[in-house]
Amino acid sequence: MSLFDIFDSWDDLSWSDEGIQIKYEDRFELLPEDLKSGRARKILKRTMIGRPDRSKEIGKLTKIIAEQFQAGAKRLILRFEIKGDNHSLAIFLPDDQSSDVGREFVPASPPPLQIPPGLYLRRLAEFLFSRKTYDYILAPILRDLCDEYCEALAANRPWKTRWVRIRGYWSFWSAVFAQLPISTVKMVYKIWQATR
Amino acid sequence: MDIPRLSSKEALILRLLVAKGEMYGLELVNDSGGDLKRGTVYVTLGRMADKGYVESRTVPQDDGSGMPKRLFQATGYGTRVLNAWELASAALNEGGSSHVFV
Repeated sequence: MSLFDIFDSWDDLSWSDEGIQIKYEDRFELLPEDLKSGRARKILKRTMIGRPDRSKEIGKLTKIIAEQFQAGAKRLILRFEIKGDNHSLAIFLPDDQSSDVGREFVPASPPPLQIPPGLYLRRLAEFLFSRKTYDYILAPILRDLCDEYCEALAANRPWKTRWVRIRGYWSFWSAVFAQLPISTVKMVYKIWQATR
Repeated sequence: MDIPRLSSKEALILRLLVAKGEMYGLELVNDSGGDLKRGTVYVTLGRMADKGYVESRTVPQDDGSGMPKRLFQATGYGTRVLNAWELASAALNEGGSSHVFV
C-alpha cells in the first residue's frame, strides 16, 4: 500500500486540536513518482480541506524522508508547508510494527504532529530584531538547529535530537545576548540622528 | 583615515574563508577546532559584513522551512585587511622577541 493510498481515504486521517491522527492498515511504500507528479500535494490538500482549522490550507508538500532502520520496520517523516504561514510542520508516523501488518494500527503516542524546533524563537526574533539582524544572525542559527534536528531524527537517534535542541537553544540565546547591546546602540543612534 | 581593526576571531574566520572559499557558518565552527562557537559565529560574521570584510548570499532550501541557508565569503577588502594584519602581527612578534632576547 502506498502512503498516498492512505491519504486517499478520508477516514484514515482525523484532525483534532491535539494534532493529526493517522491510522494505517498495512506497511506502505514510498513512491518517488508520487512526489514528482504532484499527486501527493493534491491528495494532502484535499485531505485537509474541511478540517476544523480551515485557514491552514496545505500549500506544498516539500519533503519526504523515509528510512529503513531495521528489517520490516519503517519510520516516515513527512514535512509540508502551510500556505500563508510559511512554516513547516512535521508529521511523524510511528515505526511500523511487523506484527501489525494486516490489521488496523492506531498510533499510541498522542499527538503525532510535531512543530519543528525553533519555530517560536523564530517568531520572537522576527518581532524583536531588525530584518537584517534576523536574516544575518538569528535565522542561520535556527536553520542549523532545524537541519541538525532533522538529521538526528532521520538517523533515529533520540538522545541526539534532545542534545541538538538544547545546543540550538543555547546558541540562539547566546547570539541574542551578544547582539542585544549592538542592536540597542544602533537603535539609539538612529533615534538620535532622527531627532537631532 | 580609519585603520581597520581585526579581532583574533575575525582573523580566524577570514583565514578560513580565504583558504576554503565560500562556507556556511556551521562549517566555520566545525573547521575552527573549537575556537568559534555556534552562538557567536553569526554575530561576528554580521559585524564583519558591516565592516565590509565578508559578504554573503542565500541559498534557497527546498524543504519548506522558509529559512534559506547563508553562504559567506571573504571580500577583496577583507583579504587585504587579513594580509596586512598578518604582516603586522609577524613584524610585532619579531620585534617583541628580539627585544626580549637582546
